[in-house]
Amino acid sequence: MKPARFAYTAPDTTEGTLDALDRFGDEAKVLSGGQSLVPMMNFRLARPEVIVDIGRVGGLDGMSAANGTLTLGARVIHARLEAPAVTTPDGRSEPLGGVLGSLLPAVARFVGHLPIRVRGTFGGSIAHADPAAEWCILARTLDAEMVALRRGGERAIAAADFFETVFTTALAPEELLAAVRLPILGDDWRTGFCEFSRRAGDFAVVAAMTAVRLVPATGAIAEARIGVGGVAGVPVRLGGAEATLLGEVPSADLHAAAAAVAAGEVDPVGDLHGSAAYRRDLVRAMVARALAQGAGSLR
Amino acid sequence: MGDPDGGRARSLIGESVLRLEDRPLLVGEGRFLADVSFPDELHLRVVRSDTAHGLLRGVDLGEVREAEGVVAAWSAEEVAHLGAIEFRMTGFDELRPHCQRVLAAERVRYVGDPVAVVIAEDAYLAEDAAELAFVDVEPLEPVLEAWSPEAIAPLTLEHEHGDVEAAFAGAHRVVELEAAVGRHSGIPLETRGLLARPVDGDGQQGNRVELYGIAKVPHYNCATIAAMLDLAPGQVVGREGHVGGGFGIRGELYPEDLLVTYAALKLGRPVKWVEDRREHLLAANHSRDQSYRVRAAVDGAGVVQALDAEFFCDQGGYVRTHGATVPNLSVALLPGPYLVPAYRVRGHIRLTNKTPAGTYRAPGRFESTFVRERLMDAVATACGLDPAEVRRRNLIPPEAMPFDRGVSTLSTPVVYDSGDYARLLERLLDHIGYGSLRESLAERRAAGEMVGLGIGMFVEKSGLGPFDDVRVRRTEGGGVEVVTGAASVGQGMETVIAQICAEVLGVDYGDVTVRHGQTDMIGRGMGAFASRVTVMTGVAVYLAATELAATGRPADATFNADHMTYPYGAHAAVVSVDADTGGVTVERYVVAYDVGRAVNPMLCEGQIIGGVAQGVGGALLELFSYDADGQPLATSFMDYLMPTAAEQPQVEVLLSEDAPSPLNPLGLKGAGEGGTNACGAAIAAAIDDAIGRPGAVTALPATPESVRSLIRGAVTRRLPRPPEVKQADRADLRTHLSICPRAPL
Ligand SMILES: Cc1cc2nc3c(=O)[nH]c(=O)nc-3n(C[C@H](O)[C@H](O)[C@H](O)COP(=O)(O)OP(=O)(O)OC[C@H]3O[C@@H](n4cnc5c(N)ncnc54)[C@H](O)[C@@H]3O)c2cc1C
Repeated sequence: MKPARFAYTAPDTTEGTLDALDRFGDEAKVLSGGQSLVPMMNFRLARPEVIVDIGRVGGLDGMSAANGTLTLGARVIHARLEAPAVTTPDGRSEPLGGVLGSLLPAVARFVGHLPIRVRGTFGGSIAHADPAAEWCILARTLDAEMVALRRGGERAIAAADFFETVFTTALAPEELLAAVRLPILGDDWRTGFCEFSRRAGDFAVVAAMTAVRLVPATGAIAEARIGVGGVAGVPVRLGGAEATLLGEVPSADLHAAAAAVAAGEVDPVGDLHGSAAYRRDLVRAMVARALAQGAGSLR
Repeated sequence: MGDPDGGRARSLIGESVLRLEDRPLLVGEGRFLADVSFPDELHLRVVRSDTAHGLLRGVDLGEVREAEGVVAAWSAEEVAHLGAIEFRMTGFDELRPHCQRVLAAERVRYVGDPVAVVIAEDAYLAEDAAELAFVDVEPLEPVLEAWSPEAIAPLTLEHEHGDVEAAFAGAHRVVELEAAVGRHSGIPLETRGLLARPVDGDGQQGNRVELYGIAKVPHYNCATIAAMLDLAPGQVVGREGHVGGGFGIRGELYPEDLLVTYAALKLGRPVKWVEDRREHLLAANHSRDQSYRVRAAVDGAGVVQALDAEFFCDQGGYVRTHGATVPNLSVALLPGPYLVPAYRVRGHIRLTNKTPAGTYRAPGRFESTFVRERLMDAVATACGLDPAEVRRRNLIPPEAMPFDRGVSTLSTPVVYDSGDYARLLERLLDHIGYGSLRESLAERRAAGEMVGLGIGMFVEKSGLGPFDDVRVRRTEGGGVEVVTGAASVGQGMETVIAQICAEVLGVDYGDVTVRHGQTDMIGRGMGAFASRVTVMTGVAVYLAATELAATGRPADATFNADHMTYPYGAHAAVVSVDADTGGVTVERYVVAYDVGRAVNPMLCEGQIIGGVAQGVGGALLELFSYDADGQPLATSFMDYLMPTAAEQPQVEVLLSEDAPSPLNPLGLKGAGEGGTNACGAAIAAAIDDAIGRPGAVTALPATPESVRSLIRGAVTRRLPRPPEVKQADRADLRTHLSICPRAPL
């Protein structure tokens, strides 16, 4: 459990990082919090020739809200999302309110254990692309946009295109994930997140996130998003279950119906921690519970 | 209670004083194996089989030897003269052909089987070079179930007493069940490791080798290594340091210990090996993995008149130092605290292509208690009796003590020395408010929750002899030095020994220095296992200190014991089950345990609470599983799940001293294993109660998936009906057992 030999570089700037990535291409790996990469290297499942440590790069750990978008710098550590605060244009820090202000902490506490949350980063989790990772499920459910930089270029990648398969994303070897943009959900949204893991802090066996937008006048569901992790190589959206919700007023029966559709929609593969059938069973339970969490009526 | 302190107002024995061990650990003076380094040391890396079963065609180390920093690389040929590792306990000739050689030759038998070693200038280079080894294996079909007809069947342990057939013929009813405990083991947070350092001795250069990282049984291991390397016993010196957990598995003699020592002597430099976690999960002893079929002949009052049991023990690829110890303990202690006038058992030892197995805290008892207590619950259900009531009716009464079980284990006849089992059960039931607790759980169930209560009872064993020596002297400056051949695996033995010594001499226990695990300081020693140290070393120090007090001169004493002492206990668990996920939460856990006399109640409680953590792991989480090719699936802490602080219940401990042992002057019994013993039993019963399906849980760990399928109505059957086993070479347990055949006595 000693890593294979590697070279190490720790640029101070984004430019320096992009230069290094450009130069070493797929021989290089970005090191952020190291909470996934270092274990993989110790098991020799990852054997990068060059480690580009972005821990000294300034400007990658900001959080700001503007124009309906919350931008999270890739180096924001998980722990900061337990009590998220944004920097205002005039440089002040203020707590993030609203629906995301409650959702992010509710999700963050499921990410590993405290020592992992104070090192591991939001962007690292997204780039690592574990299909059961909470932030990947969140990104997929809320249709986040990943901001990728390369020398002389920038592009935004939609979550639907970003996660390709287990531990594989649309990021090119030369690209640095700089930030993730989340849509700020208005007060007419209701969200829920529920996961089942074998022990506290473990990756979820199955996790589900739901977000529904209610029509204030009727309380009926105008928009619905259901994302689950632990059932495929990437976090998935369950369009069929989402469709069952549209136009309906939330109720226990409706949630059960949507959860049943959700369970039928996934095609999980089994492993040590749960067979395919059990995971499908869990999808039903997690989706129903997440929907129930978000069932509060509008103020 | 045998009170050595006569009229003294306050006895140190029985006080929860703080641990002497803690100061060095807290101030950063801990010296665990990985902390020890010498200039010029080399690092050893083991090349392991990644095939579960196959013919070993050859190991090509050509590239390895060329690699940077490599000093030597060997496969089986180079170390063939070292031979195979013998039994330390419970050896049988039938098992001997299955002992593990230090490196596999001809055949590999499990993923992790050592096939070569690489010794290099640092651990990184050694690991780099080890990857270059070409291990040519022709794969064979692996055997992965103990009851498979393909499993090698070296030995069946058998025992019978009383008229079993007559009891079944005349039974009011017969209750049967099948039950199995999965493969898991002790996982000390400090992995194994060894540093062997050649030193000068008797005026000769490199004439001796010192071993750091040695644990549990230093004298035995040093003497055995010396014998295997053709050295005189004194040439291998054990230097026990701090040990980060033993649990039965750490400190046994493993192939790596021989390889490291041999390398140091051969190369004339210190050689260090620190096991990594993946290796540990592949290569250190696994345990449990027993599958049972049992039936009870029950009379009209719910009293078990006969017990008939058959079980399979999955030994893995080789038989290691423990020989037949684990199944032997299962055989002996399956009847537990109940009368069971007639008893028949057959325990089949089977070799498979998994990691070899050995003892783990409450070996053979975690398994047999699970099965016996499941059976008692089934008897209760069948007879329409309350689970506590059925136990009351079957318990051995105090007036039957000492109670001869009519069976032997570890070369000692099982004679329960003392105990009032019913009294302990009532204490437990009173503490939890049995009647009202059951009512309140029933109310919660009526309101839609899945909550339940389970209890389990057991008899433990402790204080295994045959001897312990202790030397006590006063040192300059008012101190006292105790030298013992026992060992510390972190259990607090220094404190307990110091307490007993200080009590006798009337000094502060902090003035007593306890030296252990240094093989050149005392001629022989038995080490630390089987909950033996407080009893054996404790009494020896009591005798030596008494003599020192009388004569004023340094004193040696030996305590001999040819019988074990038998502590006993009862567990209660309250669990809640998440109906949708099958997830189990232990809401409350209570252990009542009688240790005869608690030298340090706090340490006893600590043993029990830690033991419960491991029991909860075995009951709900921990499992070494394998795929169809024999590839181990739980090779890191991502997949081998031990309980964390979040899963561990708050444990309520009811330590009792009703039944001091009559076998030693202090009345002592051991406290090491009672916390683990009945966890599987109590938690399984509580899950049954919670989901409203008596007898549903028949296999551990009760994973969420398995519990969920029980809630959905599934029936589990663990054992495919195995073919009737015909055993030519049956061994009679009582005549065959030998303890420590090679112990340097
Ligand atoms: C015991 C344990 C439990 C855990 N439990 C959970 C859990 O329950 N849920 C969960 O989601 N996670 C869990 N994790 C993983 C943890 O959240 C990691 O922090 C996270 O997955 C990766 O973030 P990191 O900053 O540590 O990235 P690193 O480990 O440094 O990198 C991970 C990967 O992402 C790449 N990468 C990182 N940052 C960038 C970037 N800016 N641009 C391009 N590529 C980049 C790296 O090259 C590497 O391939 C756990 C980890 C441990 C050790």
